[in-house]
Amino acid sequence: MKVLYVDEVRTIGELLKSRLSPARRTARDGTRYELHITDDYEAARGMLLDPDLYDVVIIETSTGGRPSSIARDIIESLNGKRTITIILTSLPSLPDCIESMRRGAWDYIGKLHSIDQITQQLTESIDRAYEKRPANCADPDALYVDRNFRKLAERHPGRWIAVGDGRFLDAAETYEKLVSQVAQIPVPQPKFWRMPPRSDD
Amino acid sequence: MELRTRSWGLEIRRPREQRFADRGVPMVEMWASGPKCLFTRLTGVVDSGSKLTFIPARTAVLLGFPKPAAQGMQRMNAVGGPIDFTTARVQFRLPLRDRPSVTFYLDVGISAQINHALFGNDLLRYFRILVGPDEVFFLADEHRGGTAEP
Repeated sequence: MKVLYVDEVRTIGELLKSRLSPARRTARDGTRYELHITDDYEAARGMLLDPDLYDVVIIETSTGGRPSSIARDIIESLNGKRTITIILTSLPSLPDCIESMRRGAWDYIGKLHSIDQITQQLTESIDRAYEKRPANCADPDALYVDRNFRKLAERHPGRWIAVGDGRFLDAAETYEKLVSQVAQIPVPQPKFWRMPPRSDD
Repeated sequence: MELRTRSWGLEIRRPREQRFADRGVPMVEMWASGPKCLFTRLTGVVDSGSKLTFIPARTAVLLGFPKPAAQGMQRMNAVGGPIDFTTARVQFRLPLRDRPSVTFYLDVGISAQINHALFGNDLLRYFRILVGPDEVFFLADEHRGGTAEP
C-alpha cells in the first residue's frame, strides 16, 4: 500500500515511516506499507494528478498560508476518487473537522497522542476505509463495462473498446487505432478494455 | 529455416517489484476490482506456470467478493499439492502514463491456500508476456512482419 505523507515538518512522517516499515506491518490489502514523505505541497499536488500512484494521502492542514490552501485543493480533488485522504493536524478543531469531511476527507486525526497511538489510529482508519468506502468511489467506467459485460463481449470479441463518462465510446481492432478514433470524442479520460476473444479463437 | 519477425502495436512495461527480488520470481503490480468496481493495488507473480490466475481469499474479500464457502469448491493439482478454490470474474488494470489505461477480465480462482496472486496462462488470451531482469513486457496487437533467414 503506497502512502504519501504531506507535512511541512518531516519529523512525524519519519517516525510514522519507522513504525510502518516493511518488517513491522502488513497493510489491509496484503502488501507492505510504503510511506513516502514530502514537505512540498505543490509537488504533492502534482504527484496526485496520477490517480494510480498512491492509495492513501495523509496531509497536515494546519500549516496556514499557501500550503493550507493547496491542502484544501488536494482534498477536494481526491473527493470521490479511490485514494483515501486522511487529515493529520496539530491544531484539531470541530469546525475544521466538519469542513474537511465536507470537502471529502475520509478521516480527521489530531496529533494529540504518542506516535504509536497515532500510527494505530491511522492504520485502523485505513482498514475501515477499505471496508466501508462508499460506492460513489467506484470507477463509473468499470461499472458500465461490468453491467454490460455479456453484451459487449458478444459484440466485440477480442477487440478493444473505449469507455468514458460511464458510456461506450468506440471499438477497434488495435489499441493505436482506438486511440486515434477516440481522439475525436471530447471525453477527458477514456479507458480501454480488451474484450476476451471467443473461446474457440 | 525461416524465422518470422514480430512487432507489437502495444507494449506495456511494468517494473519487476524489487521488494520481492529475493524470491527470484517476476512479480508485478496491477490493479484489480471486483463487484464494487473499486480498483485496488495488487502484486502478483507473472509467468507462474499456472493454468488459471489465482488470488488469495483475503484479497478477494477486499475486492468485495464473499468469503469462499466450502460448498462449491473446485480442486486443482499444483506442485505443492491440491488447491481448493472458487471462481469469480475480476477486472485487472494496467495503468499507462498519459495514455488510456488497459483493463481486461480474467475468471480467477480464489483460494485461501495462496498468499500472493499468481497470474496464469489465461493472461495469454490478451497478451504475450516477456520477462526481463528488471521489467515485464505485456505485448498486444501483433503485426505479422516480414521474414528473415537465419
